[in-house]
Amino acid sequence: MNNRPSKRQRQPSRLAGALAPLILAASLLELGSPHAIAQPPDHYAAEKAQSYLAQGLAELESGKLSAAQSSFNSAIQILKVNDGLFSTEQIAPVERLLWAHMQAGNWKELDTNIGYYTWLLERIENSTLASQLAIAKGMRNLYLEASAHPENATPARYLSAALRTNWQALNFIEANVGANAPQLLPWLYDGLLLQFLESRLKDRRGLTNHTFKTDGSEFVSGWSLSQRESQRANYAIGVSLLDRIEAAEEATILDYAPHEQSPRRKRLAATLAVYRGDWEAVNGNEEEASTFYNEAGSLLGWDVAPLTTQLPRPTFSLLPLSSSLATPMPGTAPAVGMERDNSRDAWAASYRDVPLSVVQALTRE
Amino acid sequence: MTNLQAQLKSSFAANSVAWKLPLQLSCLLLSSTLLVGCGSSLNKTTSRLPNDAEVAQYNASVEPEERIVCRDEIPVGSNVPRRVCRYIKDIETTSQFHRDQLRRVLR
Repeated sequence: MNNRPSKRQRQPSRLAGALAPLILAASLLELGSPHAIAQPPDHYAAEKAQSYLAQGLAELESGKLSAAQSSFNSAIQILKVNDGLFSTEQIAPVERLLWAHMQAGNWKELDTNIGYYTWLLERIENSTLASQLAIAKGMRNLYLEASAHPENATPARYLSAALRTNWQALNFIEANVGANAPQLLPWLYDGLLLQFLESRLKDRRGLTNHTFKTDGSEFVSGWSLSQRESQRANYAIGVSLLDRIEAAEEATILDYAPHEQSPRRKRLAATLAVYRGDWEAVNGNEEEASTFYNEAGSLLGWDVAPLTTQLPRPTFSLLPLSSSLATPMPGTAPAVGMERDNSRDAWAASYRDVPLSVVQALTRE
Repeated sequence: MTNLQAQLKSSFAANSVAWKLPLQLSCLLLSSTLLVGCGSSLNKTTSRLPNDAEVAQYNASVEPEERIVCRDEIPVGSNVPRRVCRYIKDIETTSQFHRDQLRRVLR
């Protein structure tokens, strides 16, 4: 049997063989041309992360929490794809995502993302004391706001977390710059303000047992302190914090003027007496408060007891050595140099009589 | 530098590595905690128990199972309260033991 193709059959294949290189060259040229074939959209282009972040921020600002969560998640996903799973570039959108979940009252998602955030933070290298403290403050603010959220069924859990974060920051500063370092001062006073908040929390479930004190896992739960014991401890911790503030301030005086029996030392003693009086006053110990205020007045020559209409004071600062700057008694006009009491409004419904200025001081940048 | 982030984790999650108990406080606790036996050499350190602020600061820096509770208790046969510190896990274990005993007696 003859299997050879006929001449007619052979002609097209010869033609195709001759044209093949030309076709191939033409198609290669076309592929090289930018306009020849439409490119599929690159959903993971690196630059999209920033635009999603900006979009999420705008949505968060305008209260579109669900949309904001979606935008932040997109930004995080793109950053993971482009910069790696451990990339610290994710920190900014994750932080915003935490706030979006908190504001929306998505407590489960908030906890999950806090876990991811802390896991991510452990991968930060070469961070400074200031940057780590900024992160701690950010977390503390988040927990505080979460504790005041009207739809939060467990405010004590988040307040406990805020308190712990503050203690951890104190531990961290002590470990790195010393037990009486000046960097401790704002955190010590913030600790006092947090104790004040704890004493004003209405729903105290969890503050006197371990359900919330031992974190989200709740691997132990049970009674530890009675409410009275808890309140006593709250007051005692405030006194200890004031003692430590005094020690830290004393150390700075000793550092700069070891033999000084100066007005500065007098100012410090008077200031501490005022703040101790404030702490007694907010705890309902009026007699002890008066004793401290009188002590301060005698040190500084004041003739007016330095009570303010708003306690506790939002920040710690040395009082001036001038009787004209003394704060008047409650109900009278505020004195020169003192903050005007314009934020007596309650901060949140879940707290009893917490001036807005206290929380503003705690959450300031 | 101690990593603060690792500590932040223990604010909310139980599986973090935390600051360890400072030696001084450790000795204080070991020498005074009722449920933990200790050698006589530890008793030489000091008899002062941690105050409430120290307890709070310590508890913030350790894993949940290492946290402690300190309180004033009036011992049997005395009217003078004294401060005692216990591990939370020990309180829980003791409470459970007592509950079990009571259940057995009442059965």
